[in-house]
Amino acid sequence: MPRDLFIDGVPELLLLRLLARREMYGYELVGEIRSLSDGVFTFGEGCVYPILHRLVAGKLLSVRKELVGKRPRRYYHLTANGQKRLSQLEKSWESVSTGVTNFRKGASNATA
Amino acid sequence: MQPREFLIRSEKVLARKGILGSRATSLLEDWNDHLRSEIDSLMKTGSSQHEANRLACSSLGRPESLAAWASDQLRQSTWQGRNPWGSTFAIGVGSIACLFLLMRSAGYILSRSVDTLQSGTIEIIVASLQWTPLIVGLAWLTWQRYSMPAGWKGFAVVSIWTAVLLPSVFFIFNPSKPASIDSSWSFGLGYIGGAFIVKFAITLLYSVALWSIENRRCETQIVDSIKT
Repeated sequence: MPRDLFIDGVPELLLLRLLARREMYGYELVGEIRSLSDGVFTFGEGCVYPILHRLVAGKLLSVRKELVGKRPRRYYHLTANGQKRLSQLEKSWESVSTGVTNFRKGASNATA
Repeated sequence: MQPREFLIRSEKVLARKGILGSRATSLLEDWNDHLRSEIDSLMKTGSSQHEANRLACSSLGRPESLAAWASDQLRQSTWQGRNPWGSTFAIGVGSIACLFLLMRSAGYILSRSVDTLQSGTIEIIVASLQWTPLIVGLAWLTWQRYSMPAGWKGFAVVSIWTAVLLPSVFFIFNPSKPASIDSSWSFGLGYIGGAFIVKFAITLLYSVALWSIENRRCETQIVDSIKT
């Protein structure tokens, strides 16, 4: 069982999935997560950035800096390693999801 | 809370968690960009500047929680951060093994070329070998200070380990010893009085200096450099 999926694998999966479409900056990512999950994922907005920085340190993302007015903005981009990690996380997620669905069916049948 | 106040508090708590330099700068730049973008968005929908500032800061999170989360996440990104105790032990044993190998090779070469080398040269080589463990220890502590894989607590543990272990590596060379060539040199781990105490004190003072420089520097150094 992929233990890390339960700890911080979900935010990581969401971020990598979004960045697989195109490069994005933090505020954009937070907004997309909020709107695409219909507000289900409401973890602290600032928490996303340390995860992004960990992924950059792990070479799963690369970063490009651009000035917006005077302030710097970081655009995050998925690397080849990040693409591999995304595939692994998606497979793990599929197996967890299938396992939970099967478990719930089994448990419902047993009680009926 | 106002954005500047939020960022100043964040810089302070990040430093306390051992997140310094470029790692702190990039986080603060990201949080600053997020706050400004959120404030602009809230003001477009009719919020006052004051209300927008307050809402943007509160939705980003508490600086203390964010710093704790950032420290946890960044620790996860390095092998040393994930295994602070195991890695400290492994690196300690590995560095001692490398130093022993260096001293064994140097002792072998020195004892066989003692007739061809001038006594001054031999003294310089021997002194270099005796101070090498200390230099390795100080370089290791400097690297720890910049990468900070396990925060300040981890830094304190590494400092004590380094101060106790590396200065105890000794190398002795006595070219006038009559018995045999190989008995003219020796090395190992030992707490040889004065030399050990001096090296131990230098290592500890160096790590205290690294810590105190960081804690005495201006807390708004990064925040002041970020353009809004």
